[in-house]
Amino acid sequence: MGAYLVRRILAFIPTLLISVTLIFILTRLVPGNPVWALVGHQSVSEEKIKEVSHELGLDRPVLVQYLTWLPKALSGDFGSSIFFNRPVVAVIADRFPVTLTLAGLAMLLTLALAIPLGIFAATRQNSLVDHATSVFSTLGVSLPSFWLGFLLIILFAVTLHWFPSSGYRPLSMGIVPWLSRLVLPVIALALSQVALLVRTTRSSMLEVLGMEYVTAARAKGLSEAKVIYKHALRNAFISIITVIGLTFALSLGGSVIIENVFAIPGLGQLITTAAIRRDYPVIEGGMMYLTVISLAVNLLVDISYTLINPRVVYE
Amino acid sequence: MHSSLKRTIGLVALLCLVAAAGLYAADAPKKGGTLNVGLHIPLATLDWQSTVSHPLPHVMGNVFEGLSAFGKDFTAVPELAESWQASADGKVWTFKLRKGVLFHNLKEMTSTDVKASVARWLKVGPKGPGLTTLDRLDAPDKYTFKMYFKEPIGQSLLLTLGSDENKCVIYPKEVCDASPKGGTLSAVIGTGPYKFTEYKEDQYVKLTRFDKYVPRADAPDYQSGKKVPYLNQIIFWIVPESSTRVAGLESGDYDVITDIPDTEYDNLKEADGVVPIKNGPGILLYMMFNHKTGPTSNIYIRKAIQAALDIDEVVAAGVPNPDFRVLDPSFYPPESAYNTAVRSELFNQSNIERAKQYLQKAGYADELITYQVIATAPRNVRVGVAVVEQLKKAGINAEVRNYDLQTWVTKRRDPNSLMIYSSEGYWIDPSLYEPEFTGTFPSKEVAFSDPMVDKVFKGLAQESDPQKRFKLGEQLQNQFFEKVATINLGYAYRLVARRDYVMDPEGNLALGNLTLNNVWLNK
Amino acid sequence: MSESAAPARPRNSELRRVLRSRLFIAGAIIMLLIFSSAAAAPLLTRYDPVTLDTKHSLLPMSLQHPFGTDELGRDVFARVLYGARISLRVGGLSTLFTAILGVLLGLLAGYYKPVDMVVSRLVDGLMIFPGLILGIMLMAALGPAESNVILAMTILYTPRIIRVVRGSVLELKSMDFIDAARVVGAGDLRILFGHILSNAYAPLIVQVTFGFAWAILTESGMSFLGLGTPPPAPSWGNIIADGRDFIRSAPWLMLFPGASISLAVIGLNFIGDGLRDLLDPRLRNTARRIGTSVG
Repeated sequence: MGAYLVRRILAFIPTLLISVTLIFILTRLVPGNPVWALVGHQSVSEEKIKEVSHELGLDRPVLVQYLTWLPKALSGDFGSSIFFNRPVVAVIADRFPVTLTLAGLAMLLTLALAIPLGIFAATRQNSLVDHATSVFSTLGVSLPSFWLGFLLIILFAVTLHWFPSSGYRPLSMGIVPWLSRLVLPVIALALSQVALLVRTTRSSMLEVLGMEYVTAARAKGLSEAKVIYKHALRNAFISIITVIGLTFALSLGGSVIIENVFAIPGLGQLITTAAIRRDYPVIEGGMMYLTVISLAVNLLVDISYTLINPRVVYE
Repeated sequence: MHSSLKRTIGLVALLCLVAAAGLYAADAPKKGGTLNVGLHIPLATLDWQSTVSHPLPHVMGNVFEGLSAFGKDFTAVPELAESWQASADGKVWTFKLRKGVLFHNLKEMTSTDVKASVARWLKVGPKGPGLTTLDRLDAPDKYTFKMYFKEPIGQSLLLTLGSDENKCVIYPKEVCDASPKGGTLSAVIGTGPYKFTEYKEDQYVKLTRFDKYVPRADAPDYQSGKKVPYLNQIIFWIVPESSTRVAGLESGDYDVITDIPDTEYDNLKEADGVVPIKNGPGILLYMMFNHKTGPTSNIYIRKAIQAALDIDEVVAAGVPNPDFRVLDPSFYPPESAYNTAVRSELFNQSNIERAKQYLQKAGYADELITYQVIATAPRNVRVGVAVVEQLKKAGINAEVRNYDLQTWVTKRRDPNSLMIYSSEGYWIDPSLYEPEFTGTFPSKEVAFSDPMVDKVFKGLAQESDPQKRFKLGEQLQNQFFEKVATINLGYAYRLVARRDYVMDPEGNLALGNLTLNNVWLNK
Repeated sequence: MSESAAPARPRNSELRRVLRSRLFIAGAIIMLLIFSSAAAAPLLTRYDPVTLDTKHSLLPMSLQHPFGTDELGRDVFARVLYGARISLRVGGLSTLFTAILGVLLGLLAGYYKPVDMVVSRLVDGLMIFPGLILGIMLMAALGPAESNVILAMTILYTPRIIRVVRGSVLELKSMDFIDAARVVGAGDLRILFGHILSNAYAPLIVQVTFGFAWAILTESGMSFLGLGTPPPAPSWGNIIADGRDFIRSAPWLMLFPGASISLAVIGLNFIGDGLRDLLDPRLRNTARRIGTSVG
């Protein structure tokens, strides 16, 4: 197991290298030049384009650009954003807390709703609640998020006037403005997560409840509540945690569409806007950031797989 | 008896005076409050000198000022200049500057700042190189600034300096020296009624009242004249999604919003506390071609396209609300003094037969003709789709090509990609067309150039007499139609909106780019 | 035979199987409905999805226009029907290519260690990226065309199939019946495609079904952002994107295509769920380990 761990971490490196190279290739493959977005698309002379390209180092051969860039990228130095004229790291550091807040609140909501619902459905298998939960969870993963976002805005912000429609106010502007603007996007983000987690919780619980040690616990005369919470849940939780981890990592990638619809200045929106503007340093830095987080989560998940299912032989 | 009547009259008069004062007081602007603006696109930079991109005029128009600016009828009026004078031969322009104007750092603006700013604007901005005949700049004394040209230049110079796209705004000399690169400013310091406070990229820009602002003495005149900063603060929130912008206005999150789809007009009229505003002058939707290579470089193909189009349908596709669109054959908007019906018989022909004849003359053999549109600009896409459908009916093998903005801009310069694209703009004055029709835009390999048109532009650059300019404007329009340099696809009006407690005594919100001069909050 | 009280569990699981298969049936009915509507589009509406009629733009629902008209006067019902063809075609083709490519690479990676080293690294490298962002960049690099959407989506989803298949291979190849086959003298290829694949198809089919649902959602998401199937093709995502500006004055523009996307995805998810429980109860383990449905 220990050796496996070390090997996995070492395997981290080529994966990182591949991802990083893929990022570089992709950003350079895409046609366009950041000059335009900087200057506006009106009459720009050929000289001006050459000048800006030269300043950005874009006129050197691609391989040279790659080799100069790679060591810096691996050490976390992405230079400055072409648009914001600030270090990429600083720009990401500005955005990340916003996405973290969104993802974190969504995860809290998800946990609060999904786990009790999943347990409930599992213990009342085949009841009305169980079927309703099933249908609801399928619905939850089926609705397009952008559509859902707009529906929420139309219903709650425009018609009922319960919440503001969009935007983000930092905590420094007051807790009510901050929170009230997060309610709708968090709901939109959480809905599909809840749906997924309910299924997982339910099926994990069902499997565990069918196991021998649960029957044994019941036979011993333990109360149903104790059976569920002390024995079953604890064992089911291992696989539930896997899904939680994966989902959280995914939502940290910034739910691009939710941030777009609700005008939230998070990491996903940063990378998308950078992609549109061809702000190469930010695209690279942002994707690198997400890559590292994803890799870390994947590593954790992989490790827990071996804990759950020793049957799988990893050579 | 006498004295009590006198007293009654006196009392009534006093009451009338008080009532009148009360009524008047209700209209007197109040100082204070924060104006929240819902803005439709993010800023690329704060450095107005380096870019034409929106929404810089909307935001930085409150912070920076220039020698000249747009007046109510979109002619150039003095802003930081007290007066100007051209020499008899038109080669030397002398600007007398206003005295005692303060920058936000409380330093006085002088000619050294102007010289440094104009020099920088020429270097970093897209419009500067258009002043091809500029020889040198000079600041002979504290309040005088001179521009020397190799050839005579007319009033068009003032529009070049003062139109709000890439306006030549004045920064302190120290800032110009410390900011050689376009797009980056060592400090954001201007002379405008509001000073820059904070900018969080893609989130908001905060401006605060500049208490030491020195206004002009003359009457308010759109972007110039007397400007009084009533508001404590203006916050421009960046909200790209139009439906959330409108929802924000209705819920009171935003007090003013920009760039709303015209189909919202009726809803906004019904809504409580909200005032929709039709914004002019008309924006021309226009079609541009690859004039140098490919099928569209053949004039008969272009004539065929010109003949085939039913502009009624095209502009209706682009602008669904009939109150916000207008068919006008001229290349100058209905509001412009240059608006003319010259060659209007070539406009909106909707004549498939004639189109087919031109195609035959051109020897058209069913080559693919592509129309590139910007995926994220809905109106641009709708216009493109409508035009392509019509061209197909005329027997042209036309197709839409949908690109993201960056790719669209790149392909527009590429002679192997570009065939047709469309855009929008407002040209109140024919000189403003010059950058796009003198062989360099969007690139030398695709641009329109014609010696007769060059001559007209030269004349427009040098001529100041309004009658002569009008004649030149007509000549330009004639050439545009005759040579099919571009095609007029109709005029569109913008929709903006405000809350009812936002007071706009000059009616600035109905004009051009968002201008908040003398706006105050009645709450 | 004496009547003994049937143990509660077996009846439950049997019941559940039938119920699940009801889900499967429901899903199948939904998809059948969508497929046949798409196929029969010319019979169901006399309008075509691209003809403009700007004089009749933004009309609400009526007998003549059951889903109203859009901003260019096109009949929305027609666009949604023909749009089904696009969603099904683009989603279907990309799923097909994903399945073929994923099975090939997954089998090879699970069986041969050197292949695994390369493939696994590539898969990890690709799966790291936030899908939509990768999709955006791919489409920007490839250019606007339906074929490129299919290509981009194939690139995005194949890693998941590879993982599922590889996982199954890893699990199966150490089993007795494989050893038995080797002893008998079966070659590698026969073992791979014959024995392993025939036992591993269950989680694969489930994942592919979910992949189809994912493809429909992703295509509409990319079209919504302007980088999917190019207009004027009435892809459901395009219809919603076009209707974005009119969400308050003409909400039906977003309502019907959005509902259609949801319906198709629900149908496919029902089928996937049903398949998962019908095919093999043991595979609940595997499916869960890999991650379920659309993520």
